[in-house]
Amino acid sequence: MMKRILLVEDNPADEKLTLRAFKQSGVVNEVTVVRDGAEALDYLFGTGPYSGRDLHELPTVMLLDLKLPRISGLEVLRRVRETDVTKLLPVVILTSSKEEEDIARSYELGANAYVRKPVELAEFVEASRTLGLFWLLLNEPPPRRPS
Amino acid sequence: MVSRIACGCTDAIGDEPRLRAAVTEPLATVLGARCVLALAHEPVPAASATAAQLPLRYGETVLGVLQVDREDRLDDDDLVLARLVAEHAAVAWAKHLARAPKVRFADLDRVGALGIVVSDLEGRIFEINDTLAGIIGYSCDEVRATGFRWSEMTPEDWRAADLQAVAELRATGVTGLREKPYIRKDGARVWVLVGSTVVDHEVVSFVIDIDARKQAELAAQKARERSAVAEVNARLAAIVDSTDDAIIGKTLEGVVTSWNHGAEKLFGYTVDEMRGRSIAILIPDERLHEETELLAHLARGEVTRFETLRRRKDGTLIDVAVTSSPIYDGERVVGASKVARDITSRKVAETALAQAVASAQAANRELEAFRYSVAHDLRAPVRAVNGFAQILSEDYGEKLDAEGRALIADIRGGAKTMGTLIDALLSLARLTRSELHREDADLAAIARSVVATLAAAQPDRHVELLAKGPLNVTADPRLLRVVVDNLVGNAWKFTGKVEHATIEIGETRCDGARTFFIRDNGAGFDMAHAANLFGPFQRLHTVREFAGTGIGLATVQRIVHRHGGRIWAESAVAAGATFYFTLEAKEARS
Repeated sequence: MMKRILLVEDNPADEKLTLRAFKQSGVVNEVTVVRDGAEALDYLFGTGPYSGRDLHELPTVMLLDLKLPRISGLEVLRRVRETDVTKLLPVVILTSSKEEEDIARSYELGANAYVRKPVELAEFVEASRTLGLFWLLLNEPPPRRPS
Repeated sequence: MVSRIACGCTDAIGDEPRLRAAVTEPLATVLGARCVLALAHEPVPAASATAAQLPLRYGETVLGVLQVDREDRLDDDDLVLARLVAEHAAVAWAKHLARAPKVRFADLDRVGALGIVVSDLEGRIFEINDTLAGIIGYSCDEVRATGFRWSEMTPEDWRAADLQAVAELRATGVTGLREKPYIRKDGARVWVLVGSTVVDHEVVSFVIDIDARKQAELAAQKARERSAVAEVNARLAAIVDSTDDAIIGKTLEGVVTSWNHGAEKLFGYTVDEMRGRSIAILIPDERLHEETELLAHLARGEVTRFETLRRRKDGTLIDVAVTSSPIYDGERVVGASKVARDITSRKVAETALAQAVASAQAANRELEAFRYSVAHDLRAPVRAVNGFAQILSEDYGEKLDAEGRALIADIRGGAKTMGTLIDALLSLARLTRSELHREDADLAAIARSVVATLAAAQPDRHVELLAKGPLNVTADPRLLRVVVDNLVGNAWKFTGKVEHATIEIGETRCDGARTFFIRDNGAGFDMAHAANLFGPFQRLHTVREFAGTGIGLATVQRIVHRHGGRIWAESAVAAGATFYFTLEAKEARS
């Protein structure tokens, strides 16, 4: 099965930069992009436009921005952790902020990692490469739950 | 001879001169001697070789001495005669002394001034004279017939004094004179002066009526007290009338009994309008229950304080602070005094304060939202500008000439500066929010560590650090590090163009406060611009001269202020700069 990345990002520039960084760093996996918190939850729970999606097809990792329209990244994280199907899903917070409260809240709610998007493109590419290497190649994903 | 003299003696009863003449004159004639009679209370005459002294003895008692003196000495017969005369004289004088008095109490009674009473030590009265009967209103027969006692004439509150007088009588046989009131038969009180003595186990007391004098005295004393009370009252009334507080007296039914000037001013009603009226006309309808509750507190004797609204005569409502206290008549609560103070201006101030606090909180919330937005939203476009400029240069750089590539570098430089500014701004904002955790720290050690870090990053610079001994402080170590980072960092930066760069960190005292300084011999600045030094984004040098964001000193100042200290600088262009700071409020510690 293809290892899939779920990118939750509302800013088109950041989306473009992230995708380019993945490409440049050799992360070739399929990246699904959703543009706000509500859409992320629809995707994960198979609701709304994603109704009928096979819920066992979970992404290998979700890259989650914090400041999102409609439903915030922290709220998405809380609901993901509350729900049986998704509670073990690896979630990496990928955001602009490095405010202590944001970091602390993210970990409190069960984030697996917190990465700040660097301003410098080279650093961005390096960060994306490391992320992809770790989560897609090194990390053993949680066992799939029997349905 | 002897019997003639004895008869003379007996006849001579009456007084001393007649006794003396009756004894000495016949004896002197018979014996041809000098005879002198000295009675017991008189000095004994001086003895001589020829004189004989014969005592006037009556039983065991010596009543005097008879001295007989003749030059050729007295013979035995002479002495027998003289001794017989002395014996007779002694008997005669003794009889005189033991005679019944001619003057009786009955005679004294006629004077009518001295009351006399005979009683026993238990206070049973046997006899009183007419004067005393007149004083106390009981007749002598009444007293005798009823077994009357002293205690029946003595007011309750004087019994203890009486018992003390009886004890004194038993111990010494007399009492001093004392003033006390008796209760007359008609129930009236009469003041007397009493003195008592014990005669043969009976008590004789002498009583003088001093009622008229005593009443005058008491009246005068009462008048003095009344005028003192009146003076105090007048003074209190003046105070009550001069205060701005409303001071109101009322009955337990809420009827106003007194109303001062302050009440007139506060509520607009005059004293004539209010006295006798119900206090309820001051109370807005919806607060009438307060009065009922108040009366319950008053009945229990409790003082009540509360803030409420009252209605003035013109109908306007005022905020008042009320203190209501019970007025006692003995044990009983008979009314209340109410002190009301106009607190409208205080209420206005409180409201204004609450609004100010609320708007400050709102501003804080806005600031917080702004900070959040800066943290999340402002970086993204910077990242986009920088990122796409780099992509442009990577993907299309070959199609651009040197000028085009330089322009892209300028775009990226600008974006990076923007990113640094945003970071600095956020860290400045963070300083006002995080809590202060004071710990023991050494400023000198921190300075050495900062310089070591700077030296590692710029190994080509040679800067001498003068940092003597430990500089022990109690401060938030994380924030202190930021202070030293910035101040030493600045010193490092601005000494970049001098030959022998030195940075000194030390301690001094300013205005009695422990003060630290960081001094350099670098570029310095013009003191004319010193006021701008600590403002955010204020710079005294161009970026071309010295790089920087203009946030550092604003950050330092904020940290120093959060520690309760202050910071200032001294400098001159090209003469180095010294930054002074304290880390504690002035009065916190010595």
